[in-house]
Amino acid sequence: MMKGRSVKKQKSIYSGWFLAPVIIIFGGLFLLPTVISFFFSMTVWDLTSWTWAGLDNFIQFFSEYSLRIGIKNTFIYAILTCVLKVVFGLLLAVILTSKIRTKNLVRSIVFFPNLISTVAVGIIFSALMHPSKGLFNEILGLAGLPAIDWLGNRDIALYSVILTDVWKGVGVATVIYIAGITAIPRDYYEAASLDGATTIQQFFRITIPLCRSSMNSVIILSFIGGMRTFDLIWSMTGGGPGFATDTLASVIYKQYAAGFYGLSTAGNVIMFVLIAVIAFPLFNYLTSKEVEV
Amino acid sequence: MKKKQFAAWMTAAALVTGTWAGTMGVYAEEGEPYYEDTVTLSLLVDQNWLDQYGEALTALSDAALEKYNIQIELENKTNGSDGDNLVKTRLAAGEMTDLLIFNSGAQLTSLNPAEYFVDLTEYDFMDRVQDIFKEAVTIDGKVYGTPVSSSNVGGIIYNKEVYEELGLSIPKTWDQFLENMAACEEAGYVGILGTCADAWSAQYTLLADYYNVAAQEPDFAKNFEAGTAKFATTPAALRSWEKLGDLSGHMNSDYMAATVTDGFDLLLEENAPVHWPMTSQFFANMESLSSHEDADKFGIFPVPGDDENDNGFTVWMPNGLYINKESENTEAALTFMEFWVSDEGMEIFMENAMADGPYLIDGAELPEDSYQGVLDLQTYFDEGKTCLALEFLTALKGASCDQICVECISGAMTPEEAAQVYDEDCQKMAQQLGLEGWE
Repeated sequence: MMKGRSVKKQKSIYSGWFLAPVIIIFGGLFLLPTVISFFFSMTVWDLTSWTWAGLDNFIQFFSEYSLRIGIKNTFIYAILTCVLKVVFGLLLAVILTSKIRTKNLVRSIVFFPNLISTVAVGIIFSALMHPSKGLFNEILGLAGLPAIDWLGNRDIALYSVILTDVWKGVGVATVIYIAGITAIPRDYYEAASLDGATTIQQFFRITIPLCRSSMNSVIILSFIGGMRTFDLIWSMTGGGPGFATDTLASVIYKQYAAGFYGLSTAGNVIMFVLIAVIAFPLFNYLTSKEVEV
Repeated sequence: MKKKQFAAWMTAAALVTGTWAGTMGVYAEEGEPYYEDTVTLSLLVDQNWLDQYGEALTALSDAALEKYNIQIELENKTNGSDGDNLVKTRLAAGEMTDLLIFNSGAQLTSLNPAEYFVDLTEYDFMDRVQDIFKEAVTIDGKVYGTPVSSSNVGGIIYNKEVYEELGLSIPKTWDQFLENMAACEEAGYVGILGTCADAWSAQYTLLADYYNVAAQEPDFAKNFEAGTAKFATTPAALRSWEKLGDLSGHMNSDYMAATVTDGFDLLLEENAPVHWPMTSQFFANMESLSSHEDADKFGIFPVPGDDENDNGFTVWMPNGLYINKESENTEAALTFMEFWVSDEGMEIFMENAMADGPYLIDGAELPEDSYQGVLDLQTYFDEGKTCLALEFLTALKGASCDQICVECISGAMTPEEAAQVYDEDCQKMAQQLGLEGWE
């Protein structure tokens, strides 16, 4: 009883108005636009005037030809980039937390791609992947291998972009892992090696379970990032060849560019719901698997 | 209180002097305004246009500075749908430049010009602009723009030297065209150039075929806009998609990854592609990337139809110059616009730019030093063997046309599927435009 009252008293020292700036900023710049976007997603809108369209936009969006390809591509993209970043990030982090001499230099190099603008990365890689003049194919040619049409072949193009994304994004995953791994007390490893555990056993029995929370951050971040992917796709292929590398976000952007503002807002609402529906249960599932260090 | 009053007075004073400076600077000199203080007009234009006509525009603006004390300040934008997007966003945000160079036809309609641009219908200088162009910038009976370059045509660019070497003649039917390509391939050349990485370039076989569609279905544009004629169900229009589907087997192996810039290089290589569906802007681009001589190695012929007695070009109207309604300098902008279409302005322009086809201002004749390929076009124009491209006859153009064309060329869609998907694409645009007959 006494305890509860004293807490209450303490709270009242601060006026509720202290929250006002945050609420205004958050409400004005995030909540309000979100609510407005729900409204405009149900209109035919040209930025100056609108007419009510009900759920027509949603129906139209789902009957969109490029969307069938777009949704499939979005999932392939999100899952594949996520898996590759989780795996390569972990391997790199393990190497970079071990006792190698050039550790700091290599850490910087791994993180470096992250400092370049995504669009610049896209332009550089599409030049590297040019079928006749690109560096990649020239190297393949020197090795006597056949040239690959990285971005022109509709079956390969999406995977070429995915590889570029992983190259660019693996640095962040690595840094998160490094933080997780260095937080694991050395005692566990010492105890394990005294008991005769091999390095591989230590990796699977100690490192992986105990850096679970970093792994979860990497999974969530790269999965949501993959679902929303746009800039790299747009700068490398523009959704092409044809519709072969369209993703949800690029379909939405193209509708926006065509002046279908209501329709593209509907697309954004759908993407928002889709990501929320997948990300929250995924997050809950992953955190339930975490163990205390 | 005093402070507030002071602020109010200051604002009022600023407003008054502002207006005063705006109006008093102008005085009549032989009936033409000369601004006492330099008026700076901002002009938004895309880089592709500047690459070709930048010199001419600079010459014009230098002349305007001398004559009217009007300075033109350029702002660049990218072209294609990203550029359109920028224009739409700036218009909606009220941050458009004083002047804008932008497409005429369907693209202009999609900007909702009545809302943003000055109505030019009543100005005398518009009498000098030919009606065919005015149609392309007229929306609901109001005219919004003046042409900023010559007209151009869509067709098939071909290598004249190879045609001479192999003894080929200009094909009169689509089948003859396929035979010509086969003959080129037998001689070791590539039949036709594909540059699908720049999806917009993949559309020309379809768009430039409109002359043949209209020859068989003169009312197609009208019925298409009304929603009663579709590409998929009109045989003459479906034929255009079938032509796209015929191409890939004859293309360069990297046609899906090659860009338009790559294309120009490829054309000058050994065993080069002999044909390229493009517009007559090709010649000027070829000169700027290579030389006038190289540009004259090429010619252009219409996309062949199925009737060998009827071959004609599909004509594109150039971009227009538009004036921002919200600009503080509309008067100066109108002066500059009038100067551009005057005899003096056009002379300066033509001296510094190459024509892609006949000009659209009265009295502006095709200069004699034009590319041979462009001079050859005049016959078609004189004989009336031309037809406006569909996008100038109706505001209805599907937003994904370019990508659907790539799908059709690459064989990912059959011509029938592509035509149908394109019809659906047009339906979305029709609904957005609020056209009647499209529920």
